[in-house]
Amino acid sequence: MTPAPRRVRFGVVVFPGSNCDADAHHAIGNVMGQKVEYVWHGRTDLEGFDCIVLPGGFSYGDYLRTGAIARFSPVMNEVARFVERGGLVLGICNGFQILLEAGMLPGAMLRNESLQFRCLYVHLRVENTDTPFTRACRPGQILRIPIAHAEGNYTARPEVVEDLERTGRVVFRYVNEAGEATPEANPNGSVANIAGIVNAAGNVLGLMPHPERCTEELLGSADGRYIFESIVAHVLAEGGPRGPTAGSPGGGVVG
Amino acid sequence: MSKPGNRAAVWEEVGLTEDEYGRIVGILGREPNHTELGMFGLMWSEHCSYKTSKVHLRLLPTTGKRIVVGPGENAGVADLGDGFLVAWKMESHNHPSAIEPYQGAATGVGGILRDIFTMGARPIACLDSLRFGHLDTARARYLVGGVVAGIAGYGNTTGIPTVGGEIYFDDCYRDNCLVNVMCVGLLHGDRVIRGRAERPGNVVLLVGNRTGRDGIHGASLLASREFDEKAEEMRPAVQVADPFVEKLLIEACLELSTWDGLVGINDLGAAGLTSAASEMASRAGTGLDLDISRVPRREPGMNPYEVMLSESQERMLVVVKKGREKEALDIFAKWGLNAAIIGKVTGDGMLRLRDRGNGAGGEGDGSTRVVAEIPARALAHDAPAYDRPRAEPAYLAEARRLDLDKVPEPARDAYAGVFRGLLASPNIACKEWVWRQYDHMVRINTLVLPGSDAAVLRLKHDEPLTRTGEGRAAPDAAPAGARQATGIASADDVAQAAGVERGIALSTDGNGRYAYLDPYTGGAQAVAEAARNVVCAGAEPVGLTNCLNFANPEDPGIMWQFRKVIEGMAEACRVLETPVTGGNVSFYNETMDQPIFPTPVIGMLGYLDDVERRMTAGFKKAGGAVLLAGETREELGGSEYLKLVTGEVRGLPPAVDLGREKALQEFVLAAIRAGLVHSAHDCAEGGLAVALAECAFLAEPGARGLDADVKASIDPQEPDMRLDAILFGETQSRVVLSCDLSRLDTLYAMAKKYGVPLARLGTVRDGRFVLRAGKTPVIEETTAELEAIWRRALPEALE
Amino acid sequence: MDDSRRKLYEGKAKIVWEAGPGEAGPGAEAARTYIVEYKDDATAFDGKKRGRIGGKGRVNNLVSALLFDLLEREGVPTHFVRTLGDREMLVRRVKIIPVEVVVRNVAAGSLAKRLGLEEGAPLARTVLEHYYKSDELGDPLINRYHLRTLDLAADPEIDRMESLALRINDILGGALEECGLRLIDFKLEFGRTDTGEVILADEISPDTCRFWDTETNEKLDKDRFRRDLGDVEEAYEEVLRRVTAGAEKWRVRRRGARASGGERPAHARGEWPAHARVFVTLKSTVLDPQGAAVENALRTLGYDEVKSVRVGKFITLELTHLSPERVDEMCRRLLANPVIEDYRFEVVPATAPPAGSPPPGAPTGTGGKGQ
Repeated sequence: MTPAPRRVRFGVVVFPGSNCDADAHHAIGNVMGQKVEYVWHGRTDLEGFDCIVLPGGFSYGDYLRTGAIARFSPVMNEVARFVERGGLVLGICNGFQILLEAGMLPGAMLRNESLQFRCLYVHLRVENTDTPFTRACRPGQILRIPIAHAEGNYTARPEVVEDLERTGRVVFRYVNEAGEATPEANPNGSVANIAGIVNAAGNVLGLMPHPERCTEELLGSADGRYIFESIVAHVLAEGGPRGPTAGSPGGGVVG
Repeated sequence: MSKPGNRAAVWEEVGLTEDEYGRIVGILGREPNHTELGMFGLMWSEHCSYKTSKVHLRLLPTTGKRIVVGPGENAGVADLGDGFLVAWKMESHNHPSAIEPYQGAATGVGGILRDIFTMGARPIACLDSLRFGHLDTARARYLVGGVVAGIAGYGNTTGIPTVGGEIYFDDCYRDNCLVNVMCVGLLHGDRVIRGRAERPGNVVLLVGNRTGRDGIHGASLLASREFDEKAEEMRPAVQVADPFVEKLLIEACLELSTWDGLVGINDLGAAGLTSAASEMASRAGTGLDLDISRVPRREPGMNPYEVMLSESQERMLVVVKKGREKEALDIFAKWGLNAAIIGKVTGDGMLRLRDRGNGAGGEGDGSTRVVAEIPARALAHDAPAYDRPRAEPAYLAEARRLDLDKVPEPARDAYAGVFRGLLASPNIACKEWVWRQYDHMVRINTLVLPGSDAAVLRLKHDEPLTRTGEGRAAPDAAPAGARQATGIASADDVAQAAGVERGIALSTDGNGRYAYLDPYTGGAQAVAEAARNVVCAGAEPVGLTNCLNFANPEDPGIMWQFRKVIEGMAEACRVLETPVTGGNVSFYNETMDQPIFPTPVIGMLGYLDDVERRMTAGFKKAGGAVLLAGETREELGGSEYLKLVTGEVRGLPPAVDLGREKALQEFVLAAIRAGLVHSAHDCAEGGLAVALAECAFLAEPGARGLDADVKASIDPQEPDMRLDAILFGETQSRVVLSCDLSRLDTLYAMAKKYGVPLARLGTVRDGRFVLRAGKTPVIEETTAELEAIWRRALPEALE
Repeated sequence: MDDSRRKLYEGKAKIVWEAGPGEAGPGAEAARTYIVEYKDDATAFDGKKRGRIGGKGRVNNLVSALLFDLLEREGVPTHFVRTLGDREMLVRRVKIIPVEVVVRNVAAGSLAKRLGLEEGAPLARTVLEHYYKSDELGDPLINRYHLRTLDLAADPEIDRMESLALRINDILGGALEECGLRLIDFKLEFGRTDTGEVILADEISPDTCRFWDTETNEKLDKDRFRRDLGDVEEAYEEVLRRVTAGAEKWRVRRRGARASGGERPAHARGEWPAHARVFVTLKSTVLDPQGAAVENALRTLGYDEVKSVRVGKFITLELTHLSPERVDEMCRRLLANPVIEDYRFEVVPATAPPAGSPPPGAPTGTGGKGQ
């Protein structure tokens, strides 16, 4: 028997109120053909995973502030350790908001400038292809990916924004069809049209748009595949996170 | 317990008549106590018992080849084959929304979602049919903003996409907006969960939010009386929505539905615990013995009356097998939900309530006493039925009179201005302002987004009923193992089935103006248009749910409208083979003593056996032929155009010939399935000119415009038809198609076979929108300019 | 006047309006509030005497607002939300219980007449009376048995009104003394909220209280109008002046009490259940889209005096015991996001301390400030 090609192992965290978890599971498992499983918010062991997805939704109803309560879930302590070990974390929409509340990414979210929920396709410009999440993209590539949120108005102190820009940590920016970051192309009032950022180590991405909603042409766009393909390519090339113990389970995950 | 004073007030206080009170005494063999009378008052209210409408609703056909569950359960269910069962239901939340638009609409969404997941179905889509007053009043704008935000707040949070619906404006809805919400759910296999409390000895649990005093007498009383200024004082009756708890309830109940210890589930909606308990017992022919001191409370000191009548939201009544209650409690605990065992199923058919201690908040000796004892069936199913007097209303003769000679045709050069006016009418303008606030993509099934004739969703074989593997430590336990455990197809199964994905098309429709001018036609038209819309999406109409919104049924004229609308619907359902699987009736909808238009709203389910064959309204390719299936007759009565130029709703509405309609729908569906057409779009409000414009606005880049002769669309018998009627008349049974020129002959032959008139109007062109009468251009504009009017109208009216 | 407003009720001295769109803030708040407008019209002896007192509406509105605010801070629930200009206040929607509760410390008015007491004679015990609000009957004096027979209020509600009335008497008596005003007697009305809670409603003003100057016993209330004593307007203005000055003192004392931990009342020492009120606002440097929208709406409605609006959150915590340090920690860890938000909090006793323990002083709060 020929050995099957190594598949990357994703975990999709389920918080109470997550509602894009099933979509991420479908896109990663059925469309991208990777290994994927749900990770309950009370779980305290992330061994064997290559990438943890914090999905969209309204964790804990987004009561108080978006992501404010979810970040105290037991699994989030483990996610922090997973990040320290070099594991990849992808926070989509509410997942991004949770990462901000947890301090794993800088800044905070305000309500959309329109004060309304917005669900629509936007154009994103890939600002940095040298990240585990964008290595399959061309520099400056324009992706068509939907957003669906009421609080995606990213804000941070000017010096923080400056630092993000200087270090290439602004990964995605809202642009128009022609690729220009205009005010009209900004769906929520986000500072500098920021749609997605990475942490300093580069292994944590938070973005408001939903790549899991567009991995199939049937749905109107398959541009979300670039992000998942990047992750897969990165893990296959660089290996998964450093395991706390040698020989983690899950069929040949190399530490 | 009842108040001292006039005995006559006793039944009036709970909204019953003296006769009904006598009937209750007859059933019980004694006078009811305060709690019992309150329970009867709610369950026998118009809202809960349909006592005025049920004799008429029997006219509607309810069976069909795909229908598995018809009216009577929480929702209807259709079997689409391949293991796909779809549950769907529509309900109104008009009065609560008029009083508190955000919470009223949000709790409306919550209620309809519960009706669906109660059946063991995963909710996969919502649609909303809304009616408001004209946007020139601050009140109308406030209601629109609040209702839309409320729907968004609830649907988005629970992760159910709101994929479509409709919204119309007329001053008859000014104080009494209509909020009709439909939810669609997907089941796998044949495990439909019923709201039945089977088998004595089984255990009854109450799950979800705690019970408070909110909404006592809320939904049912609000919806069962005239809507006037006094209703404002009833504001406390409106409940506050908690979509987060609802989301947890969805997951917990669906997890429960795959567990073999479950017997039945019912949600607590109007009339709260009283309704859920009596319905579950009555449907199963059993009784329930409940200790209401065990009901988790939000407020201290609630008496049995308040507990039984509370309409606190996000609660479910669950019956599980005896001895399995611990497992059920574990599932709810896992989802962080309150759950309490409150009683058991009995065999004597009685709903028996016990309380502990000596009343309000008192500490007793721990013993219980019976505080109410009523045959469950008497509450849930034995309410009286009335055939109220009916008489043709006086307004009709006058309203139907339309002297077209007094409506001058616009001058040739004035048509462009009239056309712009129509595109800017909120009834016709683009509704993106509404649906961009709804998450219409979550669950990644929405293939045709809002804005086309009908929403199209795919059905995923692996649409998870439950999130597998949760709470388990070993990563390898899922997904494959868990899939096996729940019988859900694995990724490999999906791959095997690849190439063909099944889908559904959904549409809500209803035109109050038509029903006002001719209730029978209005009823038939609503069904016909809803079916036509799903056909235009490439789907076969399967069946429908509905909301019937009317004014005061005690007025014989209103009752006459009601009867005629149902007769029209029934006939259309029979001819179009779309049975009714459920719905609701909302009476007492009035603005300042003026009745609303009779407004039937149809929620149609259509089935696509291959989603690749789905169809949309927009043109696809320049150079293609623009055609009209069906033909235009001189029908201006009840049209948006007539309202625009004369300010009146008048005349006879466009006729509905169900035979023609059926032939048209069969032809269009056959043409789409045969891959002959590029686009299909129903002609509705605003007539042919607006329909053609929408085809251009919704077109693919490069196909945004046309050059067409509208006179080619008319009945050859009427060569001298008025041009305004050709352009803007709302003749039914018409669909705009576009196709490749090479397909024309096949298409003509097919139309002939189905006996459907098919005429080529012109050609798809990019950039310019040109309508001619014969050779002469009547409207000649850039598409972009017209589209801007159409897109901006609603945001400008609202912001 | 915004013509989109709807008049719900007009009485002798006040008009109750339904808030027009935007007037009372977002829909949810508007749904739970009314606007009370205070008029200058004056009547006495159940409407038999009529007249006008210039500026009375303004005085009653502002005095009521200051006293409601004081009571709220002392833990007495009232219908007061905030003032909307000089003559109007936003109040919570309640159903008024048709019973006037009158508290008397000194013999005056009808009591003096009925019981043959000399006006001005201090009463040995505080007297509490109920009157049935009914214009046709001339607001008759009734007792608890009447209340029950007429089903005007449930027993627990009557208990609640009485205990609140006595507590209000304690709070106001002391506070007004500092303003040079003797609280002779006063009338209260209560209402039920949509959750059934009984809270203080109506007004507390020279129309509904007898205020005498502490030094001279000069009457500074509506008796000047009833008895044609003259200088009516001046008396009303004087009450407003004194209460405004008093309010400053009360605030200072609250801050002082905060500083001197040794004098903290029981609840603040963590020995008694307490409520903490947490206020969370966006930092001034952070753009507040909601605030901007509200500001815009207010300007559109003609409130040109609005310079800026910031929208925040108000959170109440019920605590079994108080530890300001722990409340501060709750704010930092969860209730506020220090990246964008500031917070402060204050603490009030949940219920009156048991007999024997010192009465609660001014509410003690410990403020915190985000980074």
